[in-house]
Amino acid sequence: MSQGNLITQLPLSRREMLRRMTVGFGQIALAGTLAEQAAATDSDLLSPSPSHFAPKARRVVMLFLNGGPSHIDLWDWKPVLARRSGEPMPFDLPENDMTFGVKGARLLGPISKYRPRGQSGIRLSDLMPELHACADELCFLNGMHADNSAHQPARRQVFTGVTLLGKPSFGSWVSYGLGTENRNLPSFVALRGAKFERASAFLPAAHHGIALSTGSRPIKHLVDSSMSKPEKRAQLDFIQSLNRAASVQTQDREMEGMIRSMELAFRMQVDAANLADLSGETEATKRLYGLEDSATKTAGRQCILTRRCLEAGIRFLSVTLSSWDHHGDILKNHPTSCRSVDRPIAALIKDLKSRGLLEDTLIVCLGEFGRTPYWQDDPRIGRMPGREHNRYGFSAWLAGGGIKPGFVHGATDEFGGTAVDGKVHMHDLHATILHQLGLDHEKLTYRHAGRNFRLTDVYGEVVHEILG
Amino acid sequence: MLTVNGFIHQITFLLFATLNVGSVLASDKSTTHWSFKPIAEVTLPAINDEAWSATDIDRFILRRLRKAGIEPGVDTTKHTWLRRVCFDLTGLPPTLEQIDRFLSDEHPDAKARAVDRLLASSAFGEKWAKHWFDMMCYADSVGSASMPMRHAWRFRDYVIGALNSGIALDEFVRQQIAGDLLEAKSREQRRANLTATGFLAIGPWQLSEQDKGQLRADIIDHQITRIGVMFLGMTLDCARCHDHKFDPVGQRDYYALAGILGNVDVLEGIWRSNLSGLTIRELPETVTDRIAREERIRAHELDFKIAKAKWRKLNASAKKAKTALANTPRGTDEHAAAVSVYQEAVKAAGTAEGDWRFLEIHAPTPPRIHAVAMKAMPDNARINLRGSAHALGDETPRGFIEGIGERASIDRESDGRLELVDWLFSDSNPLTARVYVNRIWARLFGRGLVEPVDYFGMGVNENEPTHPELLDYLARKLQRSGWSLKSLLRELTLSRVYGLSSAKDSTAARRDPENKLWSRANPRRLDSEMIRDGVMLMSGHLNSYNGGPPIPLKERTSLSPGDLVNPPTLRGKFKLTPAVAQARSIYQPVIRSYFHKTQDVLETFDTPNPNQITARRANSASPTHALFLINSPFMKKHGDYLGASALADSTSDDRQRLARLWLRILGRPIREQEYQSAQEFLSFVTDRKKAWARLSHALLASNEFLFIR
Repeated sequence: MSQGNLITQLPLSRREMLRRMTVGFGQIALAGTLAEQAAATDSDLLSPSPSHFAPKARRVVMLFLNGGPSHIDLWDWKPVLARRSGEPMPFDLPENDMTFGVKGARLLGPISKYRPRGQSGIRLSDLMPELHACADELCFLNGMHADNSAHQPARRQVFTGVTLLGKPSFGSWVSYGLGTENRNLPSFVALRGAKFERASAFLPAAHHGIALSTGSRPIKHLVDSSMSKPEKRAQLDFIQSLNRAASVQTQDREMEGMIRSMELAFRMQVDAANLADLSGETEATKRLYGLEDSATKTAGRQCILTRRCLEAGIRFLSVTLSSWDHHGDILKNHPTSCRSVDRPIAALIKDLKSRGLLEDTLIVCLGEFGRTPYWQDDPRIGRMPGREHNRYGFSAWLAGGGIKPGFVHGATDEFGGTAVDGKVHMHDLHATILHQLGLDHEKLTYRHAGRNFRLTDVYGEVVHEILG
Repeated sequence: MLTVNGFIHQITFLLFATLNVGSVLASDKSTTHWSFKPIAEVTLPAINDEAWSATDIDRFILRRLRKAGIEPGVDTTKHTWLRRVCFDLTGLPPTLEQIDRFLSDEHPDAKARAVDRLLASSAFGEKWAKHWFDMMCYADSVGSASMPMRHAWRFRDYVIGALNSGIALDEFVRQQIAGDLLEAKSREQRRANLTATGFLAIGPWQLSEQDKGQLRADIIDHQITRIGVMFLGMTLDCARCHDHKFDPVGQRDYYALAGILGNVDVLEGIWRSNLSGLTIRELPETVTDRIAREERIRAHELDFKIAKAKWRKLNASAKKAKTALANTPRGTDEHAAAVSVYQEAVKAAGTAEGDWRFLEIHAPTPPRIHAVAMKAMPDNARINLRGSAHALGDETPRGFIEGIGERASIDRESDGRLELVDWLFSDSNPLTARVYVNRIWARLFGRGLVEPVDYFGMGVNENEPTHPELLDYLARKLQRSGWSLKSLLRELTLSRVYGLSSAKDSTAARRDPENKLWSRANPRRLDSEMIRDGVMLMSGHLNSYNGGPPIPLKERTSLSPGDLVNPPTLRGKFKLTPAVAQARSIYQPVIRSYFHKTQDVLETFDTPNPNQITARRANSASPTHALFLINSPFMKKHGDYLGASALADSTSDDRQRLARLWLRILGRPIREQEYQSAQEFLSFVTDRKKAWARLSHALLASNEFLFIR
C-alpha cells in the first residue's frame, strides 16, 4: 500500500520528507539554530562519540559469576592456608558483619590442587582446567575488595559503583560515554541478570541495556507473530504517515526522534533475530563452547552469543553466569559450577583471539565478592561446610583490551582473607576499565539533580600496574 | 562528556574537602544566590495588549515575549486543548462524552467549567498522587528480596484521598512528617494522621544491611534527601560527608536536620536472621469493626494452635535427628543414613512451620499501617565523619538550614518535626513555594521556569529563572491561597499560554530556540501511566476502583511464608485480582526489585525506579518504545478491542466509524485525506475484523496518541 494521497497533500514534498527522515536533522538544524543542533534525540544520543584519549579496548564483556565464587579454591594460591586447614581461627571475625554458622569455625584450605600454568607459571587450581590453560592470556587482581557483604548491595556496587539503589549501570555509563558502533542494534546488552544491572537510572533511557537471550525471541516484543513482515511494514507505513503529518507543523525533536526509532525498531526485528540465531555456527565452534554437553550448554550458548554481539559491534555486554553462593557443601557445589562455565569461558577467549577480537575487547570476570578462608557450617544450608561471603579480599581477572597478559597483581594475607598488597577496590576496577576504553572516570560525568555524578562516585584510581 | 562545571566541581570537591572552609562560605548564601532571597512582592506588568491575556500569568509571559521581539503563537484547537487538560489534570484522555460536552458548551466559561469538572473528579487524585510517590519512593515491598510492605497501600490511598479533598499542601506535609503528634477531632482524622507518617516509614530500606548503625544513617540520609528535593529543591545529601563549596548546605545544617529525623525510627528490632524489622502500628477501630474481628480471631486462634502443635511435634523429631546425626561419625554409612533422616525431618518441620507462619501473617488484626516510632527522649545527632556512622564528630543541635527562612528554635522536649514543617512552610522560607510552583509548571508546560526542577542551589548559573517575577508571583499566590494545589492548577490551565498551539513559528524558533519564553506549547510524551490507563479507557477495559491491598497476600501463591532464617517474600508470579488488574496504574502493586509481569507498559515507558527520588521523569522515545508500540501483546490486544467495538456499531457506516475512532483515540476530528488513506489501509486486509483491529492498533501506536501536543 502507499500513502501517496496523504503525502501529496502535505506542505512538504515526498522527496523532502524522505530526505528529512534519512538525512536526519541536518536540514532542520541548518535552517534552524545551533541550539536545535545540540538538542539530541535518542538516536543522536547513541551516535558514536569520541573517547577522552586513544582507547586500548573498544568493547567490554563483564562475565559476572553471580553469588561470589571462591577465590580461595580457584585463583588465589595460599600454601599456608592449605597447610593449616582444619586449625582453629587464627584471626578475629569482622566487627560489623552479622553472619551465622561461623561460631567455632576453622580454617578451610583450598578444595582443589593448584599447579603452575602456561609460560607465565601462575599457580591456579584444577577446578577450571580449560580456562586455566589460558593463564597466559589472563591478568589476575588478587587484592580486590569492596564495600558490602550482602549480595544485593555488593552486586549493585559491581554494576553501578554504589551499594545503594537507583544509580545507572556500568554499561549505561559506557553507552553514554561512547555511543553505539552499530546503528541497528543497541549499544549495551545484558545476557541474563537483574534489572538494575542494565538500568540507565538518571542517564537518558537510550542508554538502558537491552536484555538479550538465546533462542527465537531474543528481545522482548521483537516481533508481532500475528502479522507477516509485509503486513507489519504496511501497518508501520500507516503509522509513520500519521507521524510525519503530525510533525510537519510541530517539528518537535522528540516526536521526530520517535519516527526514526520506529524505523530502527523495524530493522532490529531482523538484525537482532539474526544475531541470536546460532544455527549458522560450525559444529567445531559449537563443540568448542560445549554446546553438546548438558553441563556446559547454557553458559556455552551465552558465550557464543557474547562473541556474536561483540562481532556485531555491541559496546558493552554484561553476562551473568550462575550460581556461586555456596554456604554449604562447597566440596560438591563449587566444582559443579566451575565445570558449567570452564569450557565456555575458555572457548570465548580462544575464539575471540583467533578472530583477532581479543586485542580490543576487554573481558572482566568477577563475582560480587569472594569467600572466607574458614568454613561455615550449619545443617540448614548443607550436609557439609561451605564458605561465607568475603568482601575484604578476593580475586577478579581480566583478559584482552590492552591489559598485561599472564600477570598477577595484588595479594591477600597468608590465609586469603583480607587484601593486603596491591589493593584494588571495585571503584579502581571501574576506573581501570573505563581507562582502557579511553574514558577518564573523573570526566565521565552526568549532571543530575544539581550534581555531577560519576560511575566511581568520588573515588577510584586507575590500576596502572596492569596496563600492557 | 566533559563539562567545565563538572571539572570545576571535582577539583573544588577535593580542595574543600581538605580545607573544610565550606561552612564559612555556606553562611552567606542568602546574599548571593537568587533562590535564597525572599520572595518578592510583584506588581502585575503593564502591557498594551490587554485582550491577549486570559489570566495574570499571561501578562508576565507576553511582556517577556514582546521584549524579545516575539509574538505569541496561535491558540490550539478546542479538541487539542481538552485532550491536553484532561491528561494533565486526570491522567486520562477525554471520553467521547467529555468531548461532546465541552464542545457543545457555548458558555464563555466553558473552559473553566471543564477544568472544574476535572479537578472535582476522583481521577484527579489518582493522577497527582503518582507524582508524589515518584519523589518519596513509594512501593509495596521493601528491601531487594521482594519482602512485602503489606500495609503501605493505606498510605497510598490516604494520599489519593487527601489530594482529592483539596487538602492544603502545608497541612498535607504536616500530617506526613508529624501526623502522630497532631491533635485529631475525630477517629477518622486520627487514622489519617497516623497513616500519613508512612511518608517517613516507606522507602528503599536495605533491611539486610549488616551494619545496623550505617543502615540507620542511610535511612535518615534518604529522608533528608527526599525532603530536600521535594521542598527545597536541593540535594542535601552532598553534605553528609563533608562541607562543599558549591553546595549551599553545610555539614552542620545536614546534621541539624538529621537530629530531627533521627528521633523517629522507621525500623525496629530484628525481623528474621539479620534483617531489620518494620515499624507496624495499629489504627483505632470502631466498635462494630472490633466485634466482627473478635469473631474471626477465635476461628483463627484455633487453626493456629493446631498448626503450631503439629509443627512442635515435627520440630522435636528434627531435633532428635540432629542429635543422632551429631553422634554418628562422619564418613560412615550410618552417617549418610542419619543425614537423610535429618534432612527429611527438617523438611517436614519446615512445611509445618510454613503453615503456622502463614497463619501468623494473616492473623485478624485491626487495620495496620507502617508508621514512625518516636523515641522516648529527643536527642541531637553527631556529625558522621566522612559519612561513616562509626566515626562520630561533634554533636549538632537540632535545627534547620542556616540562612534560609527565619531562624526558629526547637524546645528540648520537642523532637523538632512540627517545627520542621513550620519552617518549610513559613512565609519567610523562599524555597518551598518556589520549588513547588515550578515543579507544577514544569509538569504542565514540559519545562520549568527554573531548570533543573530539583536544583535551586547555588554554584551554577544554569538555574536562573526565565521569568523570576512570574515565579515569585505564583509562589506568593500559592502561600496566600492556603497552599492549594487545585487553585494553582486551575490558574495555570486557564491561562492563555497553556492553551497555545505547539506549531513552530520560524521567527520565534530563531529568537528563542528552546522556547524558554513560551511562544508555543511544547509537545510532551505521555507518562507510562497515561499510556496504560488511556489505552485501557479507550478500549473500555479500565474499571473504577476505590483502593485496597494491591497484592492478594492471603493467596498462598502470592507469598512464601518464610521460615526461621528468611522472611515472607512475594512470589514473582503472584496473580492480581481482576479488580486490581483492571484498575488504574496508581493501584497496581509497586515492587522495588522488579516489574510484575502485567506491568510491561509501565516498565517500558520509563516509570521511575521506586528506589530513586524522581522530581522529573526522563520520558524518552527509543527503539525499545517503538518495539513495544508496534509488537507488544498489550497494544495489539487493545487494538483488537477497539476495532471490534468500532465494527459492533451497526448503525454507522465506515465513515462514521472512522470519525469516531479518530475522536476516541486521537481526540480530534478525522481529516478528509485521512478518510481516504484509512479506507485504503482497510481495503488491503481481507478480513474486516483484522483490518479494523490493525487500524486501531496503528492509531494507538502513533505519535499523536503518544504525545500531548
